[in-house]
Amino acid sequence: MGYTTILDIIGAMVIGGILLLTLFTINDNTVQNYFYYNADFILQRDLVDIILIVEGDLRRIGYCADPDNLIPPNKTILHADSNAIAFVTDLHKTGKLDTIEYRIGTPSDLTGTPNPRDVPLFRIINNNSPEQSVTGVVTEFRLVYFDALGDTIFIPISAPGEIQTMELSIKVENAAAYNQNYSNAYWRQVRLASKNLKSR
Amino acid sequence: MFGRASVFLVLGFSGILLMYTRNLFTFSSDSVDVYTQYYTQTMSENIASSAANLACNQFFLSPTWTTGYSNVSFNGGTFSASISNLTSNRKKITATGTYHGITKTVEVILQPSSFARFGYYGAIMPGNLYYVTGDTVSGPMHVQGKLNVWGTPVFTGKVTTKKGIKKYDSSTDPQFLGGYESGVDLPLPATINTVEADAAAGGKFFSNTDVWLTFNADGTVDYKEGSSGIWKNESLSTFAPNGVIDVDKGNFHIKGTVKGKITLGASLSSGTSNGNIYLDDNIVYSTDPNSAGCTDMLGIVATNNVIITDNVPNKSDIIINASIFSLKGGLQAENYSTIPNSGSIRLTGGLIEYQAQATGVFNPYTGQITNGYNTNIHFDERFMTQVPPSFPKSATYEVLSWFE
Repeated sequence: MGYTTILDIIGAMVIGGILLLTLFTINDNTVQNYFYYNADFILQRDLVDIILIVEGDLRRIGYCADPDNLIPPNKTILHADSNAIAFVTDLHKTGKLDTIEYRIGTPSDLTGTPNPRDVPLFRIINNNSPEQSVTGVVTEFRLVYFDALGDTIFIPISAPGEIQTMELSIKVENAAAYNQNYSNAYWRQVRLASKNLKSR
Repeated sequence: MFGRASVFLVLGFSGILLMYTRNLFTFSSDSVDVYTQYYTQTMSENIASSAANLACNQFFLSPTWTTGYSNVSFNGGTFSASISNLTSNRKKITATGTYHGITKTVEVILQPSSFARFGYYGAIMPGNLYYVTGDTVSGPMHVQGKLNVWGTPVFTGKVTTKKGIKKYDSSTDPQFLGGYESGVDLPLPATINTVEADAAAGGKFFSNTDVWLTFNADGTVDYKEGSSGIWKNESLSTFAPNGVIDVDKGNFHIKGTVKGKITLGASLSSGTSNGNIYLDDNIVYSTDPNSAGCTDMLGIVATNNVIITDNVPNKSDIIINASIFSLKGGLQAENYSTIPNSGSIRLTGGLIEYQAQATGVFNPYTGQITNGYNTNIHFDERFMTQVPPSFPKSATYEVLSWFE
C-alpha cells in the first residue's frame, strides 16, 4: 500500500465524513422544517376551528328564535372577566334560552401536553361539567370589554349589562417543542359585537 | 460503475428532496387554505349581514316594502333577501350571502316599535326644566326637542333627541352610559284609538262614565261605573279577555295588585275633564317586577293626564308598577302645591308623556320637597322585549332579534 492509496483512503474518509455530516444536517433540518410546517398547519387549523365556534357564539349573545322568550339585552351577559364570559343565547334555535360559559382552565388540567402554557378552553353549556366541555387548547384567551361610547370597561365588571362590544384575542401554541421552540398562531377580533346587545 | 452510482445517488437525493419540498409546500398551502376558508366564511357572513342591513333600511323607509333582493352582486359575491310575516305584526327578514360557494344566512325579526321601550319620553321639554347633577334616568330615553342638562346628570340607557342638547354652561358634562344620538324624529301618535278599538274588539269598553277599578292579586278585578255605582267582581280573563280596558269620554280611578298583562286606556276626550287616569293608591304587580319570574305587565294610557289622587292613602309614597303613557299631558300630582310632603313617587316601568308636569314643590335653598312628591323612576327592563297589550306604537319598526 503506497502513499497514494493511503491518501485516497484519507481523502475518501474526509469526503465521506463531510457527506455524512451534510446528510445529518440535512436530515435534522428536514425533520425540523417538517415539524414546524406540520405544526403550523395543525395550529392554524385548530385556531380557526376554535374561533369559528367562539366568534359564532359571541355574535349570537341574547338571541332567541322565539321573540316572546327574549330577555332584556342588558341581562344577556351574566358574567364577564378578562378570560371568561357567561351569557344567554338560543344555541340550537329551539326558542329556548341556553347559558354558555367560556373560561380557561389551568395547566394542571392538561397532563398530556408538555407545553407548560397549554390550558383547556371550556365551553360550558347549561352548566354541564367542565370535563365534557373542552372546546380546544389555548395558551391565551383574553377579553376586553367596551361600553356604548367605546370606552374600556375595566375588570372587575360589576355591571355586565353595560357591555356593547368586546375585543377577543386567542393564541394557540404547539403542544410539543422542537429545540424548545413552540410554534404559535394568534388571532384577534378588535371589535366583536352581538347586534342583540344594541337594541336598548 | 462509480460514475453511474454517483448519478443514481444524485438522482435519489434529488428525488427525496423534491418529495420533502413538495410536502412542505403542501403543508404551507394547506395552512393558507385554512385561513382562506375562514376568510371565505367571514366574507359570506359579512355579505349576508350587509344584505340584512340593506333590507332593514328599505323596510324602515317603507314598512310596506316586500320586494326583497335576488342574487344581487356585492363585494365579490351575491346576496338575496326576503321578508315574511310573523304573528303579532312582526316581520322576519331572511338574508343570504354567498361568496366562493359558501352561503351564510342572517335572520332578523322586527316588530312595531312600542313607546313602552322608553324609560322616559318627552314630546316637549320646557326651557326652564333641566336634568341636573344627581339626576339619574334609567332606561332608554327620547326627547322630541332639546334635552336640557346642567352639571353631570347620568343617563343609563341610550338617549336620543330630535334637536340635540342644550347645556347650561361649558362645564356641563352629561354622562350617557348607553350612548347618545341626535336627529331622531319620533313623534307621539295623533290618537290612542288602537287601545279603544282593541278594547271594543276583545276587551272591556266603557263609555260616557267614570270607572273605578281595584285589581286583586288573585287575578280578579272589582269595578263600578260612576261614583254611586255598585261594585262587581270578575276574573280579568273574562272581564277583558285580550287584556285591554278602555273608557271613552270618562276617567279611570285605579289601585290594587295586577295579575296578568293589562292595558288601561282613557281615550277620547273633549277637554281635560275626562281622558284621565287617577291613581287612588298603590298599583303594583302580584310579583316583584325585578324578579325573574314576573310576567305581570300594566300599561296606563291616557289621552290627558295620569293623576296621583289627593287622598289619604297617597300621603306617604305611592308605588306604581306600570308603563305610563300620556298623549296630551303627563304624570302629575293633584293639588301638588298645597298637599304636604307626601314622600316619593316610586315608579317601576316607564313614563311617556307629552310634557313634564309638576308633582311637587321644593325649597330652592335646601333642595327639599315641601309639598307633593319626589320622583323616582326605575325602568322595567322587560319592556325592551315585551310590552303590555295594545300599548301605543310608533310608525316605525325596531330590530327585536338578530341571528347570524
